[in-house]
Amino acid sequence: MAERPVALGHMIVGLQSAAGTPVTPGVAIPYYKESLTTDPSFVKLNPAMGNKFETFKIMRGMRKHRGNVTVLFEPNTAGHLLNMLYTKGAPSGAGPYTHPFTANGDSAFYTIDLSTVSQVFRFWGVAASSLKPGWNENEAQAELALSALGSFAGREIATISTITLTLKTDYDPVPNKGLVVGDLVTITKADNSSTLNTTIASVNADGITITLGTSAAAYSAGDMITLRPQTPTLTLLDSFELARTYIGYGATASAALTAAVLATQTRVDQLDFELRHGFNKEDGEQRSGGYDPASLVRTRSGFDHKIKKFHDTPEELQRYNAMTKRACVIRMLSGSTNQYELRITLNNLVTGNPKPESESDGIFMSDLEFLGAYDSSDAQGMDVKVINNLATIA
Amino acid sequence: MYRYKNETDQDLTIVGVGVVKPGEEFKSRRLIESVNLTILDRSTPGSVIGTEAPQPGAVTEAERVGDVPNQPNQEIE
Repeated sequence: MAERPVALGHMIVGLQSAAGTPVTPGVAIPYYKESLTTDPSFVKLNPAMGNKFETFKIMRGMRKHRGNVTVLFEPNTAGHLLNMLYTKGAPSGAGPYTHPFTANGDSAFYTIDLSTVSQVFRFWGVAASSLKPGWNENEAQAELALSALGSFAGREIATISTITLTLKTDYDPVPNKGLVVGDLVTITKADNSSTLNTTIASVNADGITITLGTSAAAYSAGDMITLRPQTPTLTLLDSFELARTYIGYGATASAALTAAVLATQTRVDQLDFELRHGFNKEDGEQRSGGYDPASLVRTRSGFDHKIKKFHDTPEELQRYNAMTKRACVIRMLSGSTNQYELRITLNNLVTGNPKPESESDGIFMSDLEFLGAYDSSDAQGMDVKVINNLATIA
Repeated sequence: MYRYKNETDQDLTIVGVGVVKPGEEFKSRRLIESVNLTILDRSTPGSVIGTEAPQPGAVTEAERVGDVPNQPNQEIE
């Protein structure tokens, strides 16, 4: 038993081929904080039964797997973060590679392994409902709201026959769900007196048995199997930063993109945007026949966009009064020659009230909140492009 | 000593080791377990944990990745 610094933990994500198919993840994303958790939703039964004690029994409930993560925000892993949120299109280019994302389809699903050094908590069927930058002075961090379809935190062993383990079904009728062939695992004695580090050789279709790479004959019923951490490998570029974020506004998306360069950018004192893609239920669809959510169903997509900038000439007021269309392109650049980028295009914005709220010792500043609408001429309300050095996001 | 290869098409920064170019091989005295690496060889008996063959049913401190069947992306030379 030992205290474990969080700094030694890590987050590794992996793209799944389908919502219900966990993988052993291999893409490490350095993180600042996370709150992913499984809520067992225990149900308290309190019928009258001849005793005043408040709870007669506690029943297993229908689980919810949710939480937020704040991670390093750079072009390579940004591709994976956006793939959890929006629909990835075919990449173009020969390096750097441009990966387009649109908000009119479904996202991909991921497996996320969170290491606590001594073990790994796995969430699978993970998708995001929002992504926004959190600013640590100049550094952009990415804040995501995540939901998942299931988790694996460890299972109790019912029987062992050398390499074959049968798992107890207390947690779920399919206790081996979440394990993948090749996973690193630890078998721990119930009294914590010894451990065996091994791997998963097979995950059987019966839902309750697995086989290991090494004999676990020294272990017995009641001992635990948990996932153990792999060594994280990083393929990162420079983080996005406010100082290299160019914001351009224009009458059309192409005009806004032209404006989003060093010379003609709009410099703002504060930049907020949140890219959203909602679920019907953020807890997932709780349906008969299973403790875990049956699915995560997407409903609508959209964004919030706010800036703070100094108030001077009346053009903002004119746009506010006339509700004229305005497009915005936010370019967050990275790389020694700005060759890598996160490019957010907001096709049709209506400008909010530019009237500044003022204090006597300041300057007049406008808090501008934009409302986004679908743009018929562009046939979209928004899109996002990630330009990085990954040929494929996989 | 373990010998590994970066089987991805990207530079890999392996925490505690360094940067390994795509397709490059490197050696490590410690066991590295990552889906992005292929273990090619392990030699120099006794220099690292887990290099002696486990007895049947024995509890080992660190399982040897190269011994594990059905493990994707890993092979022994």
